[in-house]
Parts: sequence; C-alpha cells; structure tokens
Amino acid sequence: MTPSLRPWAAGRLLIAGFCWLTAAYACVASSTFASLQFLQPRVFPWVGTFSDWHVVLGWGWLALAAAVSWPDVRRGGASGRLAATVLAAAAMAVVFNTLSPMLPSLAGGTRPIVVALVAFAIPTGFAAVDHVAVRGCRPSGLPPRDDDESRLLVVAVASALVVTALYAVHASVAMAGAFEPDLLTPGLLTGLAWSFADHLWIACIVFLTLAAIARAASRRARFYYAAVFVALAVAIALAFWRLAGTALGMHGVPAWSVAAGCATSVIGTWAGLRLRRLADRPADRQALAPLDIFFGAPRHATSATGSALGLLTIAGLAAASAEVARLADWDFVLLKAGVLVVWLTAFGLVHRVVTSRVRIPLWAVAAVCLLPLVAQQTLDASADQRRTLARYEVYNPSFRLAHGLVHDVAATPSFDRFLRANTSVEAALRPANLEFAPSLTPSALPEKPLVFLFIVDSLRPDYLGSYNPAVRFTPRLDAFATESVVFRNAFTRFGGTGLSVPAIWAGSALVHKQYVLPFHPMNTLEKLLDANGYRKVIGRDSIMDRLLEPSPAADALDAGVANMDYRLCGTLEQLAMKLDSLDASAPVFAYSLPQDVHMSRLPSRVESGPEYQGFHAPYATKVHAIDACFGRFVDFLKARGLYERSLIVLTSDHGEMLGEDGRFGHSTHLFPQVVRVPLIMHLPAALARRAAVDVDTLALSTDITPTIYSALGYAPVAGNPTMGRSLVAMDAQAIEARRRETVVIASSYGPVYAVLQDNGQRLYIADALNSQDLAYERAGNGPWAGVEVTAAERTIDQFLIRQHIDEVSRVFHVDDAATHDSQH
Amino acid sequence: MKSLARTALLLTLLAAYVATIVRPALVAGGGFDAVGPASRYVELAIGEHRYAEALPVALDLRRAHTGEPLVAYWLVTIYQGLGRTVDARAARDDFERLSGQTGAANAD
Repeated sequence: MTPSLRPWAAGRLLIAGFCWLTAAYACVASSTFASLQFLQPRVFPWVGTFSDWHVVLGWGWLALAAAVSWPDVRRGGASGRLAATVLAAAAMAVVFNTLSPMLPSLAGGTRPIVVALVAFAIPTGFAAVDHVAVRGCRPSGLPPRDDDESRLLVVAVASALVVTALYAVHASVAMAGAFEPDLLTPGLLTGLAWSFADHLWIACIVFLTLAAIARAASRRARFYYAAVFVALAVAIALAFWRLAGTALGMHGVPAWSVAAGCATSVIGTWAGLRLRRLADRPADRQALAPLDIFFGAPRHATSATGSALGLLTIAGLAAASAEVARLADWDFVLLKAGVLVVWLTAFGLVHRVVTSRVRIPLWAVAAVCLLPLVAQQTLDASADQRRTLARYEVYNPSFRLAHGLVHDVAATPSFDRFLRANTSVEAALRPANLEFAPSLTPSALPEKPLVFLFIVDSLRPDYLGSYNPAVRFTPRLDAFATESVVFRNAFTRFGGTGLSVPAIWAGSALVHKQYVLPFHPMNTLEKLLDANGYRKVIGRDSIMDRLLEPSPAADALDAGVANMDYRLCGTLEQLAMKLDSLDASAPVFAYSLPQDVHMSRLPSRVESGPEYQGFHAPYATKVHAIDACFGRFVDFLKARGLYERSLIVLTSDHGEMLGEDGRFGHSTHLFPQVVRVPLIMHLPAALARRAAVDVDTLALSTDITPTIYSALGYAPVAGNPTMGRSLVAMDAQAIEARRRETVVIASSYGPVYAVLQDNGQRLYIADALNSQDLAYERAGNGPWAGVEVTAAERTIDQFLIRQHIDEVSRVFHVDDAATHDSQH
Repeated sequence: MKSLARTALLLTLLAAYVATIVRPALVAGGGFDAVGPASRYVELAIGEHRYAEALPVALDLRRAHTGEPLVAYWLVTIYQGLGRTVDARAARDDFERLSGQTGAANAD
C-alpha cells in the first residue's frame, strides 16, 4: 500500500467497524432476553457507554466517511455518483438517529433488525463504490489449470496441518498443570489424530468447492470472482446464523436477512479494500486469480523469517481470541468466531507462501479427498475415545469447532424444533392466577416473622463450607448454616436470572416468556406480603422493577445504584440502617439480588491465597468478601434481638461454570454446576420447633415462596403441578412423592431443558441450540459424572419435557393465545 | 478428455461431501415423528388424563411404527391411567424390548 492508501484504508475500516458495532448492538437488542438481561442492566458498561454516545459518535463517523469518500466524489463518474449517494444515505441515517436516538430505545421486536440491516448496508454501499471505482483495474481471468488446482489442494491440506499443529501446541499450553488422566500421551495422540482428520475434512470440502467454482467459471473472470465472493459470503452467513443467530434466538426471515447483510458487508469491505490496493499497485495484478484478490498472490520471495512471523501472528491471534472468550463469552460464540478468523488467516498465509506448481495426479487428489470422508463415515469412536475427545475439545477450541461441524448430527431434529417453538414465546399472554391459599386473609400468627430473601446471583453451593468441607473461606456463612436448615439437594427451576428470579417470587415454574404482564396475579409472594401488611425493603433490580407493583409500603434498597453494581456488603449496611429506623412492631420483608460473584464482576486475576487452592480464585475471593459482611449482618440482627424472629433465606438464582470443560458463565447452560444452588434457611424459633424438614430431599427454588407461606402459619397448597411445595411442612408421604418426582428445568435464555430424576441424582439435558443431549449422574452428594444417553432414556426424558411444556402451556393459557393469534 | 475426467472426479467428490451433510436431515425427515400431529394428540390427551381418547390413536401409531419405543411408552402410561395393569405390563415389556433397556420404563 502506498502511504496515502494506508490511512485511507484505516479510515474505511473505522467506518465499517462503527457500523458493525452498531449492527451487533442491534442484533443483541433484537432478543428480548438479551436486551433485558445484558443491555439494560449494563452487564458490560462499555456497551452502555457506546449506546449513550452513539449519536455524538455518529457525527464524527459521518465526518470521517465524508473525508474518506471525498476523493471518489471529486473524481466524479459512476463511482463518484455512487459515493455521493451512499454518503447522502449515511447522512440521512445520522440525522434520523440524532432526532430519534436508536440504540437506547431498542428492545426486541423488528426495529433492531431494521437497524442492523441498515448498519450492515452502509459498508456494503462503500464496498460497491470500491468495486465501481476500480472497474477496469480488475485482473483478467485466467483459465483454471491443473497445476493451479494442485496448488489449491496443497494449500488446503497444508492449512489443515498448520491449524492442527498450532492448536495442538495451544492445547498443550492450556493443559499445563491440569490433572487430565484421559489426556496422557495416548489420549493426546488420539485427540491429535481426530483433530487432523476433522480439519482435513473441512480443508477438502473447501478445496472441492473452490475447484468446482474455478472449473465452472472457466475463462469468465467476473463470474469466477463473483462465485468466490458468494461462496465466502455464504460461509460467513452460515457462521453468523449458526453462532450468533441461534444464540440470540433469531430465526426465520429476520435471521437470514441479518446473516446475509452481515456476510455481504464483511466480504464486500474485505474485497473492496483488496481491490483498491490492487488498483494502487498495478504490478500486483499480474497473473492474479480471483482467489488471490482475497488472500493475496503467492510470493516467491517470501522468506522463512516472514513465514515464521506470520505463524507467530496466527498463534497470537489464537491465544488472544481464547483469552477474550475466557473473560466473556456466550456458549463459545466468541471462541468459535475467533477460531474461524484463525482458519481464514492461516489459509491466507499458506496461500501466499505455497508457490509450488507440481501437478498432482488424479488418483492422488481422489485419495487425499476420500481419506477424511471415509474416516468420518466409518470410524466410530469407542466410549473411552469419546470421553478422551470430549476432554481434548476443552483445550483445543479449533478441534471443538471442527469436530462439531464434521460429526454433530441432530439426534432428534423435530424435538429440537418443538423446543425452539415453545421457548421465548412471542404470543401475548394473559397472566394466570397463581395461589397457594385461595382466600388470602392475614396470618393468624401473633407475631409475624421478619423475612429476608437474599438471592446472590450465580452463587455455587460448593463454594460454601456448609456444602463443601474443603472450603475454608466462608466461616461466617458456615456459622450461620449451623443455626439454620441447609437444604443439601437444592436446584434452580431456571438456568439464568431472567426467569429464575420471577419463578422464585411466583413459587412456580413459568411460561417461557419475558414477561407476562401484569405479573402480580402470578406473584404469590407479593400477594402474601401485601395481605399481611409487610413493609417491603427491596432492591428493585432490572427484573423485579418491571414485575413488582408500585407500593407505598415499599422502601428502596440500593436506590440509584445500577443493578450490576449491587454489592451484598453495601446492601446489608443500608438494610441495617433501615431496620433501625423502621417501626419495630411492623413486619418487614427485605429482598436483594447482589451481583458480587456474577461472572462479569469478577476480577481477571487475584492474589491467590492458599485457602483458594483447588477453587477458581477470582470467584472464591468474592465469596470470601461477602462472607464477612453477611456475618456482620447476622451479628446486627442478634444484637437487636431480631434474629430469632427472622426467616432468612440465602440462595442463588443459578450456579456458574468456572472453567469446567472450558466453560465460564451460565449462558444457556443447564450443567450440574449451573442448576445446583445453595439454599440455607434460618427459621424463626417458633417455626423451627414445629418444622418437618428433610434436608436431603430434592428442593427447588420455587419451593421458597410456599415455605414462606408456612412460616406465616399458612398451609400452602399448590394449585397446579408447576407450583412449588413448602419445604418445612412435608410429611413422610410428601417427602416420598418429591423424591420420586421428575422435575423439568429450563434455561431462561434458550431452548435448553433438563430433567431431574431420582431425587436429583440424575440430570438429562436436551440442548436444542447445539442439537445434542447429555446426561449426568451422581451418588448421594458425590461428584457428577457424565454418562451415555441411552435410546430408552432419551425417549422417556424427551417425553417428560414435552409433558412439562404442555402443562405449562395449559396453566399459562399459551394455547388460547395461539388460537387467538391464528383467528386474528 | 483428461480435463473432463478430472472435472467429473472433483464434482463426484464434492457431491459425496455434500451428501454426508444433507443425508442426516433427509433421513430424519422420514419415519416416526414424535411431535407430528398424531403424536401431539396422544401426548396432550395423556397430559390431560384423557387416556381413553389417547388409546385408539396410540394403537394406530403402534401399527404404523412397530419399532418405535415411544409409542410403547405411551401405551404403558395410557394403560396405567386406565387401570389396565396387565396391558400396561405387556406394553412395558414391549418398550424394554424396543429400546433395548430393561427397567427404563419403571420410573413412571
């Protein structure tokens, strides 16, 4: 590139980057759950800042676009007119955005899709200008030759080798220090062999596609170029649809439109910049094949140092993308996108380096291409090998992606479609009336207990000493547990805060929709508090703020604090002050959803003390911090004589993946680490004396509210099978029934469902996002182990999930809404 | 001629690769559909305890799909719901034979 072209190209990339960021924001906002759970609570503050400053940034962006397009406009002609048109359209978009700022107002529906399409269209427009501007400078097409084809095969195979080797090294580094009995030398060799076979499979289909395009194009250069453009765009569109689209719950025409818009925008910008460069350096255009436009022409003079530097760059890219994904990812979307970038970069590097023009005989081409195909169709990994490969995937993201592409076949695609159709229900629903006590009159108890409900977002039970004797950093919580009831076998009803917290308030599984409004008819806890004249001291987090009724009998906790900044220590200090100021005779209910241990709030590195050994230190240190604050709050209650009058519930809305199988966060996961929750209840003295409790029986987060009913002297009765049961009033028959009960759990954010059986000893997960199912078992409170899913278990468990969805649909009138929608 | 043979080979290989991608979807499209209209009718009726209404449709599906364990499992549930214990036991045997797993249907 000439010096003048470099800043121009950087400017063009900035213009496109701003548009892509805008489109990405709009895509996330198109999902109601993502908008409510990520954008509005500002889980990642910089995203909110981008939205806040989008209008101002837009004007700067327009100025840059005008400066970058000015040479084309000034030159006139077709490209000048087109550039002026694109610029005018961009200016209109910026003016419109100023009059009515787009990003802050996006939340579900079709508007975000339109915004994303417009944002993708602008770089596409500038790419069109590039193509028109360099018309006449484009390389002429050359007939495909056998040695070109042979070189392409060498490039494809060599790329597979490079990527396999690169990620093998990456896996070895990532594995350092980990105890992996399945990945000793034989296991690593198995992983490496399968990795190469899978990467070779992908390399061969890429080679065959490009070779077929070249032969079909013959001497028609424009057709050849267009076909390569389309092939790359289709690949990008498929990747977008499969990774981002499904993760955000996009489907149908909107999903494909956005995928096509994204692909055209990315490939167009890439091709446009490359064409500009070719026009700038005519010498580079000699004997150029259309594929060279995208990846660069073979360089005979490439030095070994240059190639090594290129390899190091790709290795750095692989490591960086894995690190970014480790800090913030959603079911491997960023990790896999990073791998795709590495694949393309590696292909580009090899494409430039390989210059040999040896003619590979037909039989050798056939042999190379048949080898991975035959391997895929005939090799069937044994159970041991499958376990080994599953472990190898944890450390080798490229193998994870390649193995999934080559081998994952949906076992039950129609069931997956059923789950998708019944998840994130779009129909408008009228609220169901849920009740634990049909005519809710005030409790007859002479002294109503104080009720404290602390749902520590993402808190895992195995990071508390009362659940795991290896924990040494929760002494105050452990002391609290000894004075309380520790339900050892507790599970959330929903993975993910979005539906888990409303389900706790409702005391019931809910229809998969965010949200059915008004929520009050379903809010059995709020009804109980209102009926008994409770003073509510509530942290109105981003979810409950939408669902709770406005009430004069409510005090705000953490007023003016963003939900993601709720910290248990600050909340409890504030609560203690409020308790001191409130009328001591009035019953008080306090609720908070502190975010101390949420993945987005963990430090990336901490000084790891010996007490954290064997634990995820950034998480453990946060648990350690809340332990002390909680202990101080208990001391406060004791000092005020309130402790024995209090029902204190300490739980979480879901657990968290802390590196198990390479996963972090909770996303749409329903793995054991995500669905198990701590549930510690300090009962008021009067209730503790008469409570009938079995701490080893399966307990659900939806049992908390009926248990509070019991604490107030009611005999709660579940109005339908989706509702919870009181945990302190179970007779032997109820305990036996609960132990035999099968419970269906759902992810809040996607079509992923799980079946809990055998008193919480067995977990079957049906994941319609990744078209797979998994099962885990444990003995007693022992560790969970992955087990094979048999055909019989799959049949029964999927039937149970459908039965659950049908039951929820009946309770929440989903079928009525569907009928209503179809009639109108 | 050589070029033609090379083109034919490349296209054949490409077709073979594409076939391995699309074949599972095509295969899955045929045969028994657990969420087809008849299946949904049976499962909704079971969920609402309308076992007598579910039974004839389930029996029709068993005749049409003799090797399908889910239909046998429905019949276990339906016969249990109707109090026909002997038929339920036979259906359970049927389910275990078809799914190749002893004891799997006892959970219900």
